[in-house]
Amino acid sequence: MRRLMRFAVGLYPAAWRARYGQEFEALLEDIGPCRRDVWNVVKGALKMQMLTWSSWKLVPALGVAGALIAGVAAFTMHTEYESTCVIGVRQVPEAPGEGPRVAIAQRTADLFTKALSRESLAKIVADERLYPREAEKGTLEDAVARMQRDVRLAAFPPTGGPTAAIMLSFRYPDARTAQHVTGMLMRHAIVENSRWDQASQTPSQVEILDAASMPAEPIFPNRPFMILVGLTAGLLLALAIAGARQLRRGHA
Amino acid sequence: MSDPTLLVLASLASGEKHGYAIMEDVMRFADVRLGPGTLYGAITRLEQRGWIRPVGATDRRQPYALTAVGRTYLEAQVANLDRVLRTAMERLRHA
Repeated sequence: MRRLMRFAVGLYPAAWRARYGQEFEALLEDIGPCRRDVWNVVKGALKMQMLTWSSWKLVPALGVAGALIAGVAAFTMHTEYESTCVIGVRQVPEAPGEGPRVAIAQRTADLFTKALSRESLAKIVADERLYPREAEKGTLEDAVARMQRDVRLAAFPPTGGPTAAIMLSFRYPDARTAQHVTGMLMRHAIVENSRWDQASQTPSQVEILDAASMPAEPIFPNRPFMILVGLTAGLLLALAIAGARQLRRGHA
Repeated sequence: MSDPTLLVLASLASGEKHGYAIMEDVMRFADVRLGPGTLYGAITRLEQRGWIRPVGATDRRQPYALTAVGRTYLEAQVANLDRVLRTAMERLRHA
């Protein structure tokens, strides 16, 4: 505790220590400091540093501090990886008065309503043991609701050619699982499509354009962005403190 | 009331004291434990404003005393607080 306290006292500005150092150490000997006191001294030292630092020192110091805090937060947060696959849907015969966009949208909705149904997702969650925390804390419903949030669909209507693209993506804390489950969802969609084809006796209209990707980098948290936000926040805070000091000096 | 500067001024109103004596006194009359960093932050500010001054020390413990300006400031603050307290009491009585 003594070493820790000595370190904390050393954080005060040298000029302050020269003036108050001896009596401050005498006080610390008298009270027999505890952990709470060490933290109190660290806070006091930082406050004193900020009061005595000139603006040119304060601005970069707080900027770096903000970036460091954000960096630590960014590297300790749970990461999420996103795997993506692309499915091509050939333009289906249009009903009278129906545009290609409507036809594709209808086809996409039909395909994925079943593939991403609650029953289908619940089976994947149970089989693959996804979201163990949600499954432990709540019910399977919580895990399925979470999975519904983590699956994204985006349709791109045909631009000139006969094929529209549907992008399916799934995000998960583990890259391999994200890829594996995305592949499963894609296969579910294709199976549903073939069933539909058999029922309507039309040739298959769906093909895989891009298989489920293996994510190399996490998509969350966006670490460079978080560090940039921390840096900016630190700089802004430093500028605000410098401005407030100027105002105070002006009034004094 | 937990403003450290006011607590230190109130403590010194009864006579000069060093840091540890101020801590003990504040604990006794306000039931507030000033941490060492908080206490010396307040002492530094008060000395810079000229509201307290160091007086002759016999050892490493440095006693401080109120200055005339500090006493005037404390009296003004206490009068302010007294007015607020009286108003609050009056209103509570009629509520």
